[in-house]
Amino acid sequence: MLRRLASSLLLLAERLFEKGLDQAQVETYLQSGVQQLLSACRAEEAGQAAWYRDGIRVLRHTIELGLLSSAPEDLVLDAPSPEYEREQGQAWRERLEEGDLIRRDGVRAGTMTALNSLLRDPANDSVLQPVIESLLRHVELRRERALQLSPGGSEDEMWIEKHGAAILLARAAQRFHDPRYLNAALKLNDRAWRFHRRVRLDRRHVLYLYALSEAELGLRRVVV
Amino acid sequence: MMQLLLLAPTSSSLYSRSVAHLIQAEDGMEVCGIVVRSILNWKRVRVEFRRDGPRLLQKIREKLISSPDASLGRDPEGMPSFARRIGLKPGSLRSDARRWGVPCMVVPDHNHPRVVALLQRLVPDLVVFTGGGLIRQHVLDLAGRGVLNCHSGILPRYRGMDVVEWPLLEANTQPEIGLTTHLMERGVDTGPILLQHQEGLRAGDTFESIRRRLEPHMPELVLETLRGLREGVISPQPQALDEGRQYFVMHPRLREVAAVNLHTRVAPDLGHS
Repeated sequence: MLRRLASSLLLLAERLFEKGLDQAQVETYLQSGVQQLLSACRAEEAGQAAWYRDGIRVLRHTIELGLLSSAPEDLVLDAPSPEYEREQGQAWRERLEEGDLIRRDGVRAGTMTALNSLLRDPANDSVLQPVIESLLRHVELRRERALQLSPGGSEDEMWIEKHGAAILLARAAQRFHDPRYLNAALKLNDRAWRFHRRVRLDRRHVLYLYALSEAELGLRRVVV
Repeated sequence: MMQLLLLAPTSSSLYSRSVAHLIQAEDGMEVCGIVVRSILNWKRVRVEFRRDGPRLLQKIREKLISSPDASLGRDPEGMPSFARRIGLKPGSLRSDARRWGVPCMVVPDHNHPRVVALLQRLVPDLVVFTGGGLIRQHVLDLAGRGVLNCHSGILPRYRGMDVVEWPLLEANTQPEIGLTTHLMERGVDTGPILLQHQEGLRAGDTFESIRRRLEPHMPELVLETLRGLREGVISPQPQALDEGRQYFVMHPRLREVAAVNLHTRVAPDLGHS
């Protein structure tokens, strides 16, 4: 009797814990985010907003995912990376070759933005792959404690780094055709969920939308 | 006589007990000591929950709470049936050790100083690891010819966790599923390879049915490896690490895809038996 009770309680706990974000939850969240983005992107000063370029990427991804039929005619879904970001990326390339970018105690703010920028150019693949491999190990082994900022920073900065890592891993999964990277991206997105349940239009939340949409694309392109 | 020290995850582990039983029944080798990791250990629960997540609860439910004679015990290919076939009596490693007159130690961790002292005292030819966490270098260094482990995946390709699921996610044709015995090193499943067992798939297979089928092969493969080492017909082959990857616990969404692959891509090719 006691055995059966304990067994049922454990089974219940397993089901509660096991549940990561499922496809329907992600799609509902993305659709809600897209509605907000579509109206915000039309505002006069939208192009100056910190979230704008990532928001455009979310819209492009949701079209590819079939969650948005097409871009409204008055919206141009083109937001190239600014020159300064590319220049910063190249500066980081030199640091990549020195190694020690992903440390046990965390990462420097801005690391993931730079790595994401470097991933746009396949010429960087050979120096990037070992860093992404150590990021994978860091995320999988440190789990909730992964990607702290070192030296410290604000909570928003920390989340920007975590979402940046999820985006990087989901993109790297597609570039290197390695589902382990996508696996880690999905876990990062799950862990972030309870802190981002309500969509807001700030850089951190739009980056989360981007991370979710990039992982969905990864699922379609890498494993399905 | 080959002297073997056994490291076990729990005193009731059927796998560990089967390995010990097979060794004791074999000519030319014997268990000279047993080290069991204690279950009532908050640090262990915390570390294992962090590593396995909710699957730790499943492990506790299946291995410690449900009776082995319940549903799984009736599976003729499962571990409880195998244990019965080899004549394993109900009991524990502690009662086995008493019967055989060998020391049995319960420790919070296999790297505990008491384990080091036991290794220094017994000087075994080989240590047989049947589960219970990571083994640190200072223990590896004292293990005679090494620490033998049976990994439930095909090395060097699949190191780490969920290595039944990952081949099914990645493979379009026949996936590499099976077991590998190897000597342990500091890295995860990176040590020299000794012997392998390849497991074929069957129509209607699930991840659980594949695992259940693999389990009884583990003690058999360990024994076969020990025989090969004793007779000098098996020599450790270093792994080409770049031929494989380390895998981690699979996310439920990828697991769903792997399950679909198992049913739609792999199993249908097998026909129905």
